[in-house]
Amino acid sequence: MPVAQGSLTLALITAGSALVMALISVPLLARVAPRLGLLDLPGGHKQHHGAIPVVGGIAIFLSATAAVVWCGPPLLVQHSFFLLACLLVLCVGVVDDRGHVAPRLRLGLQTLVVTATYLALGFKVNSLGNLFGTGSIELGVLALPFAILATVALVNAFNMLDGLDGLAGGVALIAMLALCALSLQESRPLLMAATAASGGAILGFLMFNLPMPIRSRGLVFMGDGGSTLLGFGIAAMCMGQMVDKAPGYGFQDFGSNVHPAELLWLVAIPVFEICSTTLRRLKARVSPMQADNGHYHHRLLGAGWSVRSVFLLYLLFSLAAMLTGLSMHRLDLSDPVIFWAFVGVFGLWHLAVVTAERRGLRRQAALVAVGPS
Amino acid sequence: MNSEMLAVPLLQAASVAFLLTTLIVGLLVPWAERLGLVDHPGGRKRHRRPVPVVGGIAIFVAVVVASSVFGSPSPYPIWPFQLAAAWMLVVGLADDRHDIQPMTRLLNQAALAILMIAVSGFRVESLGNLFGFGDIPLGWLGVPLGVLAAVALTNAFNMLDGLDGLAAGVALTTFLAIMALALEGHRWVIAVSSAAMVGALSGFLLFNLPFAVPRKHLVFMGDGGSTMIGMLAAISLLALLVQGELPNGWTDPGGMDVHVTVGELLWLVAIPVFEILSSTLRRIRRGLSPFAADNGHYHHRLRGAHWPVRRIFLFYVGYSTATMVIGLSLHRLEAPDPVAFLGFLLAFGVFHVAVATAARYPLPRPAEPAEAAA
Repeated sequence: MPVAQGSLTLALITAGSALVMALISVPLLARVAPRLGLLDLPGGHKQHHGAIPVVGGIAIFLSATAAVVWCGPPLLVQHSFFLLACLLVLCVGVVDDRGHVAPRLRLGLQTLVVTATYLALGFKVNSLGNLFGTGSIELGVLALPFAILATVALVNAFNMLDGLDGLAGGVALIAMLALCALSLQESRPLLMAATAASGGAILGFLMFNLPMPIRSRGLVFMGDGGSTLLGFGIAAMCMGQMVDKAPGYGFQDFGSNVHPAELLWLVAIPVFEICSTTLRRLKARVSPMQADNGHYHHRLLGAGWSVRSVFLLYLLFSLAAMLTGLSMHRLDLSDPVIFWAFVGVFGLWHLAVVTAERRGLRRQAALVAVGPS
Repeated sequence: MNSEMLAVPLLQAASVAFLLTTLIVGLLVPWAERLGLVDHPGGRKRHRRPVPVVGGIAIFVAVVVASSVFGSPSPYPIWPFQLAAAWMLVVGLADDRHDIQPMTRLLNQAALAILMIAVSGFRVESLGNLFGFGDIPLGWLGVPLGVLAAVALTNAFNMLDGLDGLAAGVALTTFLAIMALALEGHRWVIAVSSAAMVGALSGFLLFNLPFAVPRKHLVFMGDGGSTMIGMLAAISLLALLVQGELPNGWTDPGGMDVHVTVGELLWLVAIPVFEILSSTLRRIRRGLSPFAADNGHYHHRLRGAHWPVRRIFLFYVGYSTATMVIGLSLHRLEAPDPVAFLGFLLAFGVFHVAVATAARYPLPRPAEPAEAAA
């Protein structure tokens, strides 16, 4: 299908429909949440008070799917596979929200779903690009395993981000916006519709998940179902940017202009999170799947930041990173520059958070030493 | 150039405007008291502590910077937009500080609208076939009608700005749609200024969302902000209506192949139009001046029915998103004018009845007085 003129108009129609559906479905689902057993009760390492409905993931999935089916280009069989895969990821997460799924089982199921989807859609990362300036790094046989690994990592990164109100949703929204703009530019109508619909649905959900001064009034969580769904969706849509031609869908045959290193900038914070968490847990010789309170947002909270400040920091930082990535894409910078700049920013981010945490802890220690006068 | 190739620069412009707005609001808030940009409680105001009114300036600077930087692929001038925005902002700021006469304000708006139409030739040639009896040509009436529409829309956005987030949230949907239609019609200057406005309004909403911002961080956009937004929306809509190339070359050569009609554009500013129509009718019926301020706007009625601020905000934003989706779909489907226009009247009726029903069956008074005083 040639890209019709006015694709941005179509993207807006799709996103707007998804937004309205999310605005309607979130409160409706929140009302039936107790009957579905989808309530999050305080306890453990949870910060909130009162039982909060965990229906965001379901609402996002329903709204985005309906909007794509309704407004987007006609779907092929492979694309319904993708929708089915999203549904499976969501289901695993929702079961986890209701009770508990062993981390190993969850990881195994996610890997299975991702593998099947990528085999069906032909998504893989053939080349990492010229990351080190020594020529393009071709992955060969590893193309599919790498794509699966990256996706599962991103799924879990979004799950980790979802520890504070609005974080996962805000970061995902920005990634979807950038992916939508890239799809428009690269003439990928289906990806454009899917990212636009997801963006609209996430925005609608965020209206119920922003850090609110009045606690637990109308607050809704996305839950593990929502966060893993978002991670999977974003990873798959990043892969979709890199395939030269999606199977059976007459995309224009000019190959892809999007490089893996540029995509890193669109998901900067989740990538930081998963990299630092894995390294930290390996260093502490625990399983990388062991839950702990060492994520960046936990550290900032420990430093005395408010939930709102952490949210604003994450939102503005990912927006700035996205802007940098898109600008580098437009300026056609070389891969090593894009990649090493990313590594450098990761280092700065880590240093900044660690410094903030240390300062905050010292201030608190000083307060305790002086005593409550 | 394929106009879709420009989606990334539009997103860049919006992101820069977003970041700039948050930055400028953050920088200006500590200085607001000294600059005299503080809204003190009292009169019809519902807030309790003084609130900095720096949103308008922040949005203005962000939009000017972002649209200047990213408007560069276009050889056409962007300054008339920026001049219009600056004019409205200055008049509005004066109003925020000293409460100037409604007539002075109105004359300024009309003068600006006349100037913009004179400079750019945004003359509405025809209303389209609104009633199905054939095209309604306007001839010279296009000029006064354009001025009237611009002034009405400017004041409509000003009226919407009575509850946190409403004006910005509704304007967000309007500018998104303007951006898409302008890109389609190769009107790059308008597309990029609208994209910048979308980013700036989203950034501002981080400090103005009624339910997600602690009261000590709340910021208003003020009359300067709301009238600036309304005027820019009006000018952009008039520019979308113009067929063919504009006298001073504001359109690209390919800009004539898209046909936008009045009936479709009404959907993009549905809630402001509902608001101005109902207020004008109400005030005339009561024998008042149409400019006398009162507490009868739709959002006041919903507040009177004890609707939480958040619910009103989501209702407004949801409704205007829905009307935007319908307007753009009508445009894509090239629906006949009478359908678009009668559908719009129907949407007005639905909105009016929805608010009237909500007002008739008020919710129970909220338990916590703190929430009601948000």
